[in-house]
Amino acid sequence: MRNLKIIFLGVVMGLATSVAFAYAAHVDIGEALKRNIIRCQAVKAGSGIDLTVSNLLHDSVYLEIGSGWIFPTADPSMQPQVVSRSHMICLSEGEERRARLLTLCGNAPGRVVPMGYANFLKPALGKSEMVAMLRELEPYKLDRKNIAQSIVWHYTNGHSMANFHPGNSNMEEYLTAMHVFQVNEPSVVDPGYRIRYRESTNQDAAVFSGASEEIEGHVSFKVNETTNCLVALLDQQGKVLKPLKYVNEQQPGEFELSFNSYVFDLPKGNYSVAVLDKNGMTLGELPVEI
Amino acid sequence: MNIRIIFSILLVHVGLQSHSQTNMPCVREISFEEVAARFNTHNDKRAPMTFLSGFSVEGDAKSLTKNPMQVMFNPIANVQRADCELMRWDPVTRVWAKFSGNQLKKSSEGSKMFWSAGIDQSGIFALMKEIPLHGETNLHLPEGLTSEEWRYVQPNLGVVCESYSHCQTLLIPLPALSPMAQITMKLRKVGGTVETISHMPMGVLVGDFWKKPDAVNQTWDISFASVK
Repeated sequence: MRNLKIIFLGVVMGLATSVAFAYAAHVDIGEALKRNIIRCQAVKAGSGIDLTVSNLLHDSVYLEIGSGWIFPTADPSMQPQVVSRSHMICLSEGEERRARLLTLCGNAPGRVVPMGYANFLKPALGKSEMVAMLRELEPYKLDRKNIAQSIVWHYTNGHSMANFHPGNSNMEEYLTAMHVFQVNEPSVVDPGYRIRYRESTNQDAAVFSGASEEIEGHVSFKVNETTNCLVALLDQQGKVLKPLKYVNEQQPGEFELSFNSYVFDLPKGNYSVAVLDKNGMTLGELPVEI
Repeated sequence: MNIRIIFSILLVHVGLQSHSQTNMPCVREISFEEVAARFNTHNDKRAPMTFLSGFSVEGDAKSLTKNPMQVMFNPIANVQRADCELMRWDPVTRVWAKFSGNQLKKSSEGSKMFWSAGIDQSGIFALMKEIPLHGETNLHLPEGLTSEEWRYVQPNLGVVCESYSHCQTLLIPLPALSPMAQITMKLRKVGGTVETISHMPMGVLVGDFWKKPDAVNQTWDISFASVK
C-alpha cells in the first residue's frame, strides 16, 4: 500500500514537472521576457527588425512572436515597430539566434527609424482587435503592401477607412484585405471614398506623408426628371471648386457615379462631392474630409 | 497717408475678389436655340454637322489641366459613337474644331455604359454628328439685292449654317433644305439701305419648295412677293 502511494506521488510529480517544463519551453515573447527565459536585442533592419534572442534556460525554448507585438522606440518621436508576421524561434539550451521580423509602422506621424537603430524598449502586445486583424491577414502575405500599413494605422492612429487606399496593392490583394477588415470590424463605417497620400521619396509604405493628393470614390444620386448632372467637389459653403464629371441628359432613376480628383492644391478641411442638376439643385452628396 | 493705404488694400481686395469670381468653375448647358442664335454647326472644313448637345466650361485653366473633367453622354438611339465627335468652339474662325482627346470612348459606371471624353480646358463644347449626305443648295436673291450675312437654321436636323460674305446667291452646304427651316438675312438694296429678315421659314421664302420635295442640289429663287 505504501509502495503504491510512493508510485502514485512519483507519477503525479513527474507529470507536474513535465507540464512545467513544457510550459516554460513554449512561450510568447512577453511571457519569456517577464520570466527571464530569454534575453533579446532588436536592431532596425530593412523591412523590419533583426531580433537576437538568447536562451537563458537549461532547456530548449520555443519562442513565439505573434503578429501584433509592438517594439516601441526609446525616442517616442520615432516609429514603433509592429510585427506583421508571426515567428517561432526554436532555441536549444544556451543558444543565441537571430531572426528577421517583418514589421509595419505603429505611429503614422512618427519619424522613420534609421537602419541599425537598437534602442528599442520591451515589446508590448498591441490592441486585441489589431492582433486579431493581423492574424487574419497573415496568410495573404500583405506585409509590404500599403493597405496592411493603412489598417495598422487605423488601430494605432485612428485613421478612417478613407485612408485605405490600394496604393501598391493590386486589386485582388486590396479586395482581400478589405474583406478581411470588414469581416473583423463590421461596425466601422465605410465613408465611400479613399484618399491617396503622397508617397515618400523612397516609396516606403511605412512613411505617412499626411499630404493628400487624390480622392476617389462613389457618389449616389437620384434623378426625378431628365437633366444634365454635374459631379463637383464643393467647399463647405457649397461653392463649386472642381467640376469632376458632367453627364449629359441623365434620365430618371437612382445612380452611382465614380469620381476622382486631385486635391493637393486644397487646404485640409471638410468638403463634399455633390451631384448637381442643371438648375444647381443637389441630387446627391457625399461629405469628404481631406 | 492712412487713407491711401486703406484705399490700396481695398483695391487689392476687390481685385482678388473679382479674380476669384472669374476663376470660379462653372459648367452650363448650351441648347440648340443658343447655338442657332450665337453659333453655327460648321466643322473646321466648314461642312455642316448635326448638333446633338452642348455645354460650356469655365474655370481655372491650371486646375482643369491637372484635373480634367470627364464628360459622359448617354448613348443616343440610332447614332453610332464612331460618327460622333466632341468639338470645341473656335470664336476666331467661328467653327467647331477638334481638340486633343475629343474622341469619345466607351466607359462604364456599374452596368451602365456611357460615351465619354476628357475636358482639360475651358471653352464651349458640343457633341456633333457627321452628316453623311454631301451637296449644296443655292438660293438666288432677286436682282438689286445682296446678302451681307445669313443664317440657316434647321432644328430637325440640328444644323445651323451661316455666312458673312456679300453675295447674291446664298450657298447652303446641304443637298436639300427643309421648308420648315428658318433663314435670317441682312439684305442690302442697290440704293444702299439695309434690311433684316428674321427667322423666315424657307417654305414661305421659296414657294417652289413644295412642288419638288425630293429635289437635291437645286438652285432656288427667293421671292419676297409672299413675304409680308
